Amino acid sequence: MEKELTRLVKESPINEMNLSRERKKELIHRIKDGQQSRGFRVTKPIFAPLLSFLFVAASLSFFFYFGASEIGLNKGSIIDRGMPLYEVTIDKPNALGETYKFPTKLPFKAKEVISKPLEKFPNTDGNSAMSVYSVTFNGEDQQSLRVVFTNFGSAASNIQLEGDEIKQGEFTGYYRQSQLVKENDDIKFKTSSLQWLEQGNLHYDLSYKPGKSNVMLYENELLQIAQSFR
Amino acid sequence: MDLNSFSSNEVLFEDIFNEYSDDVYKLAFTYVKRKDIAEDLVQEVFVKVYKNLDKFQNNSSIKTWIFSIAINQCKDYLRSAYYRYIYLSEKISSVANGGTKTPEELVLEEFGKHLLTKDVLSLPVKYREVIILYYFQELKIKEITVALKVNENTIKSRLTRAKEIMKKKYHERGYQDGERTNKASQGVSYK
Repeated sequence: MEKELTRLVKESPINEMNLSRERKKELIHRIKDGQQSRGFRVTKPIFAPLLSFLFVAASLSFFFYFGASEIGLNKGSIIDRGMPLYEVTIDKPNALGETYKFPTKLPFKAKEVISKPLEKFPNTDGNSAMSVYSVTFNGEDQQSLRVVFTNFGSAASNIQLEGDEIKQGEFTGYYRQSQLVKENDDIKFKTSSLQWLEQGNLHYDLSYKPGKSNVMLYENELLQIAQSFR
Repeated sequence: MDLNSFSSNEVLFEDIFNEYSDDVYKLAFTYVKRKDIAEDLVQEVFVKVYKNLDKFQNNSSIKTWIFSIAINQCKDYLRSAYYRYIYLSEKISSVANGGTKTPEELVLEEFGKHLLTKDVLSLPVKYREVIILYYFQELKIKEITVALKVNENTIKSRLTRAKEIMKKKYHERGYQDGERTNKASQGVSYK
């Protein structure tokens, strides 16, 4: 093979490729004159690496932001904290009486408010019943903030609230958030909720859905609303 | 070539050019597969040689030094936006004209009459360059390591691999080792 290869190499037409004498003279003249070749100039690329760098940086920023949003790492970010708060303009429903507190601030302008008592559930001890009442504030972009008021009565000692514990002053709440949710055959953004107990048996469950607003509320925002309860 | 025997760089340069320009032309052609581009590359390479002649140190032979410049210039060209633009333009033009051949395809067709040359030109660059430098330019392995700035073992393994690829193609055409046949170099007359 080696001999054959050497023989075939010698016969290759590449070996017969030569520059003509005139062309050599012309090239020497051009080189000494410092001229570049006719067709092109190979230069170190400047814009391509710069554009590549910008593209990579932009892509990384996008993925970090999107990823952080998905897993909630940027909750309470400046953008989220910039949320304005609106006064609640309706009176507390009579059914809640003096027992419960009621929010005085909302994260959006309420377009409608739906208040309704939920069913009474017999308690496990059979002696009392849990009263459950819900108030839902709906915004213009289909965002909603629902507060469920529950009096656990004597059963309160048996319940355990789930979520990440949040403490601020005397307030102790439990924060949860869910990832993408399916709603009416459509994939929606996350939901978040904050629940807490007052007076040992009064349970508040504050939950938020961003609807089409694309504005997410995380623990800091829900905490602000929880602290507006009067 | 004794560099000290020349009285001026001008004369020295012309001698160097006349001595090596054909080799650089052939080498550049095997990278870019275009005669016109190879000629332009010869000019680019020798502009650098001319400007840097004073900086040449006798650490390697002048041929290896010039080849090293030529290889870098060819690779820069193949990486350049200009090359990509030309390559794409020719492809598009070829398709638009109903599948006519691009200049590169025409060259391969021309050289394809000699099957070994076609095989060599069809090799990936890293294998093609070691075959060209070792067999066509008759550089020693150590000189190739200097020209390509790659270590000796890598050069040897690339050379072995390149020969394996070519041997496979050779056998696929139905020829055996050592079998002298004019089919292996169709269209080329033997002396």
